[in-house]
Amino acid sequence: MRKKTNKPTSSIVGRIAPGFVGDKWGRFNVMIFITALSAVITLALWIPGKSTGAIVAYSVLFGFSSGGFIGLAPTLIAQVSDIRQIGVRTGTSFAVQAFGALTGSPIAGAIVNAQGGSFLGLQLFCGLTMVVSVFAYLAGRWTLVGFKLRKKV
Amino acid sequence: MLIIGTVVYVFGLMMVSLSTQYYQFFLAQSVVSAIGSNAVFTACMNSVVSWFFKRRAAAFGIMVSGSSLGGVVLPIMMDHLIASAGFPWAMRAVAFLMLGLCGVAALTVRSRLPPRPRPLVVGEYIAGFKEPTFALLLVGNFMFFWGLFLPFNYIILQAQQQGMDPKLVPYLLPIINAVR
Repeated sequence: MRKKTNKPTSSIVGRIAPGFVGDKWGRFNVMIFITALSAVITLALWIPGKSTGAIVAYSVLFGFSSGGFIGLAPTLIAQVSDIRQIGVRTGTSFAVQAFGALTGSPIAGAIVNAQGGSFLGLQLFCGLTMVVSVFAYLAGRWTLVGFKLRKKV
Repeated sequence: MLIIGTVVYVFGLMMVSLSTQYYQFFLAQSVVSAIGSNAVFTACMNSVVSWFFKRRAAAFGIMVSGSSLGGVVLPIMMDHLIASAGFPWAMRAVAFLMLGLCGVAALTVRSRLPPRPRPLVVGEYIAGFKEPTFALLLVGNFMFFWGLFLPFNYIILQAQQQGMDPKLVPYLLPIINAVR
């Protein structure tokens, strides 16, 4: 049971810290950072990582970034929606993303089979979907404030 | 909604404990339990939205950190329970645990604003797609969710294939969840 002692503190880091930072620096900004981090570590750490240390490091970092994503996603919707519409909007988003969650794993499984058991295709699929999401959030930010970099959104 | 969700969720988990066929697992775990747990989660989330405005993201973070804790405790708990009590009773133990925990939530979570039942207008759901910012958020959420669960589901197999120490492999998921 290694790592047991620092578990509660690190779980606070992943889920709560992005929320606090998001309230302060802008939720879109933090969301773009977190999704980009996920994409980069998936493509640059998980794929080339052959050692146990690399996989554990990836687990820790991906746990952090995915936790931040899950905590931030509803707050972005709330930020761009009329307060009376939040329920409807969150519902719409959940319906859309549930479709992604539902189809992602079978697709990835099919990729692994098609590649004869190699995980490279799966890892690329995972990393590239995240890259696309980064651009979607960047574009969303652009619809709000244009290209201004130092803006709290 | 919380109470209905709790009942459906626990019922789904109990059905998983009775399942023997693939389609039974699929129905009980992927459909019935998922509907129940999502009803509970959505109800709690909307309650948080109504109580917080300025520090909403922080409040959400604190709320969802509960599921990280579950993600750390449950895989280890299931591992040990399956070994000592067998799969059906391990599942039932989890279901009773959820009954107790969701029961507390159902009795304590309140919305700040009284629920105003509104007619279900399909147009409201579709209107969001025409708003560029929201549509782009949907694209982003969908794409990220497409890849989000792959590391959770496949990292164990991938690590085994790479010849990682078999004693360490079962702890990969708790490690990911601990940091989430």
